[in-house]
Amino acid sequence: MEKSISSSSSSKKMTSRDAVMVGALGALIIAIRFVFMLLGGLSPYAWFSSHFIDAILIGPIFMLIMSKVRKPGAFLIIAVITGFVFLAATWMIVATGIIGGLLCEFFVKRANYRPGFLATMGFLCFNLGFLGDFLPLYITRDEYYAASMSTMPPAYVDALYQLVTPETLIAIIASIVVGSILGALFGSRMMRRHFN
Amino acid sequence: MHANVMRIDDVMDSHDRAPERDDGGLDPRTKLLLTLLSCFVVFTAPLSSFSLVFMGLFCILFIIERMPKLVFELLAVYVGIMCLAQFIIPVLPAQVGVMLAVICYGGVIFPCAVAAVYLVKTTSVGQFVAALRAIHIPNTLIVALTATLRFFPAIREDFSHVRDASRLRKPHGPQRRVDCIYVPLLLNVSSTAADLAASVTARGIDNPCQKTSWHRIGFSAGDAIVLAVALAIYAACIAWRVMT
Repeated sequence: MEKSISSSSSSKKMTSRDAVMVGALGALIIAIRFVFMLLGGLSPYAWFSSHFIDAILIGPIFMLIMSKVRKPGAFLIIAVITGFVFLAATWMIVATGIIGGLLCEFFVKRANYRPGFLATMGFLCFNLGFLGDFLPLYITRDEYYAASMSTMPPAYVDALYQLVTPETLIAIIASIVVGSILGALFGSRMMRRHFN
Repeated sequence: MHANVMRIDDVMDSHDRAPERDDGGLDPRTKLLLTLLSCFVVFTAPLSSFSLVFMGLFCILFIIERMPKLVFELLAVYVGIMCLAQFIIPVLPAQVGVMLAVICYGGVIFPCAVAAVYLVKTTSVGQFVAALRAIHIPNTLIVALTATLRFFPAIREDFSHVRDASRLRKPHGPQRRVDCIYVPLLLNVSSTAADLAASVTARGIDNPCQKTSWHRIGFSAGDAIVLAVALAIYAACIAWRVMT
């Protein structure tokens, strides 16, 4: 059974065949992130909760890639490409993505590319790698605050900046943890029912 | 092999009918550097005149590439965002204003977006691959990236087909509805990817020899000028940051 779901190339390292599969399914992951990032433009609340929905929806794709490729490097490649595609938004996604991708590879390899606790941990790291999305809001906080103070009414700017707090970041991380667990469960269920 | 390719290129040159060949545009590596620099400028001095100057540089580049329409569109979006931030949000109640804040944040990172549009609109995938090979990016990553870029439009098409088909079946409940979109979409993408993988393997992508490219890329005087201007803006930006 293991043979039938893995891709047909048998070498230990990633081949171009695997790379095409990773790129194609990675495109799906990036498309999901992109759509929800745009929807996040509607309001900060939508933006802050987008990673939670991302994590749930990406679960099945993650599990599919894991079972099809079964070689180290797949998720690191997706993390790097994601960072590259979102370079226009911020370069920090590249940095956090590489860290998250490496941790994810570590866990997924330990899990021997099978769903379970370790794979879920890998998926969590993979999702946390996209946290770079929010970092500029925190890092350029003061500049942006000063700049918006000069153009917008102070009451409004304060209302916005009440949202940009460490507590919010912790809430976002907690939502990603919950979303990753749900996404991994959703993904394993879908794998069992439809892809075996 | 290489000599052969070069000779074919020269023949094409002498007949002067090679529409896909680069005709004096910037090197893709220069465009990548410009995109990076635009991000650095924006994060060193957000919403400053340096970002505006950087956007001006891209407007000139767009006009040189004969895309004045795109310049107007981008400028219209930028002016729209700025008007929203300056005139509309101040008169709205704070609750509604917060809703629109992320759009204003889009105004902060707009120069990076302009750089990305420039990179995408003026570079073909072939040129891009040639550039990535020239800077020694691992082949696996290049193949995956190319596959990703190729699959974006395909996913959009697949998604609308699957959605139309699932409307006929009228699935009930959110879980079932997600399954009805997701399972066919994932199967479609992975089977197309398997076909594509077989096709590129048949064409010898795994051949370890040095790859050649139809697109000849190289730095020119234009690249030097544009990079010098961009670096000067970035240097001024850092100097300003240190001074204040």
